[in-house]
Amino acid sequence: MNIKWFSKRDQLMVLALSVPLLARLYMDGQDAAMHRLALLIVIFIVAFGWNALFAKLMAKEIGAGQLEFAMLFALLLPSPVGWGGVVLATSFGWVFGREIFGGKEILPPALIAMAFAIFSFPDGGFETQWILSVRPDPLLALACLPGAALLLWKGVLRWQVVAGALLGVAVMLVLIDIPQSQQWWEHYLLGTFAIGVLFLAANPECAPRNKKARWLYGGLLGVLIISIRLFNPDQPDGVAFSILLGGLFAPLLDRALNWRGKT
Amino acid sequence: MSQQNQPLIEPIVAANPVTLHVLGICSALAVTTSMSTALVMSAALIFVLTFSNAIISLIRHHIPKSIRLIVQITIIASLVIVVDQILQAYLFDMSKRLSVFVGLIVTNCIVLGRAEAFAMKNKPGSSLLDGIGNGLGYAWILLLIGGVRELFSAGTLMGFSILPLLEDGGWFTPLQVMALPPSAFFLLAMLVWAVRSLRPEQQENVSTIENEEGAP
Repeated sequence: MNIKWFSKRDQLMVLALSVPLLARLYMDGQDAAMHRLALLIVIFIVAFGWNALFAKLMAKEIGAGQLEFAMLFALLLPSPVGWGGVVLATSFGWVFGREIFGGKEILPPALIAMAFAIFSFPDGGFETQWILSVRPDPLLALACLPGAALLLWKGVLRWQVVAGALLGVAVMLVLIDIPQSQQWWEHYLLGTFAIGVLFLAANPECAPRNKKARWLYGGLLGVLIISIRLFNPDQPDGVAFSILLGGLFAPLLDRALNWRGKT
Repeated sequence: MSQQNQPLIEPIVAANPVTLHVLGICSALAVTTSMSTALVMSAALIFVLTFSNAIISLIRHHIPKSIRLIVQITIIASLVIVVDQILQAYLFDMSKRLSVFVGLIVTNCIVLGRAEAFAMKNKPGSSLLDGIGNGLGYAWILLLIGGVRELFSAGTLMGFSILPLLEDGGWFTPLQVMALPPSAFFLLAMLVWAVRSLRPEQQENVSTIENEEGAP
């Protein structure tokens, strides 16, 4: 059987994601870290199983991507959760986020898996409580920076998206009063903001192709993230849904800024 | 299959109104949170579709071409009002749970579609069978999606407990996503996928789709 474990971009992504993953494991403490690692392996195996099954059905070689997917999804999981829910969410994310599009990632499959998990188990999942992180995690956000720098150097990080998102958040924070209990800068460090913006939204496969469209797309994400966080108390993170919703606008923004058809 | 029964048998799988023509999706998604609502909705639709097909076919030579849609809709709407009143009289709780969706059978594409495509051209007998057949084709899809959604969102089927819930001392954790409308979209998509994989002749021609989108 012909297996292609890594594409060139996957290698970079895996390298970039390893630092925040280590930081996350360090923050979890010993037991939770072991659980998260075990979940990562389960996610990888389930995703690989689906990948292999579809490759066989479509009579093509088994593509790469499951390790990157597993690392991202394991990173995004707010607190270590139960097995059943993760297996279901992984299957849904991989099949509906990727395989039904013939292997093309129109929206990040890890986020689709995440959204499925959030909707399915809003108040206690399989075995364990599903708690969305609402604390600012400076360590996690900092740990994303080396990987982001690597991706930027290799040219697979769309920096305009990141800049747009930072600006979008800033604009919203100026326009809207935040609760007394929060500092404005906390919103840049909260939850999965850094992971989501740097590794998911700025990913070349999901970000718009047009440079101006990338700024707009990033700005839209920033606005959406703050809107969801402040107006919906059930979703203190809001990053996953913002990137999913924003990602649907990416092709439209490309088209709108490029309506004469020149590239 | 005899020629006579073809209008009855064909719409059940081979020319299913939901999976092949993708009609009647609105109500198929809206009323499938549980099997009982799906069942009542299906019964209502079978009634309306059967009689509208039969009545329209009976008077098809007397309907002026220019106002045929108005006549068809009038007949369909009258039948829907009858169903709605009967539900309100005898199954009041159910009629409340189905809310506007019984009334919206008037706008269900399957009903008008069959009237226009079949009943206007065929004899009353086969039109009646076509109505029942299409109604049954719609019904099994609704019942299947409703059954899956009810089973996984509440652990029950038709209100009877199948999977004991965690909170009642069982082991099953309900999947909240199944109670939400998007799950019906995904289930229906998977069903269409399954049916078209088993019957490749139902797949749309890929080259025509690419031609429509491909040109810059």
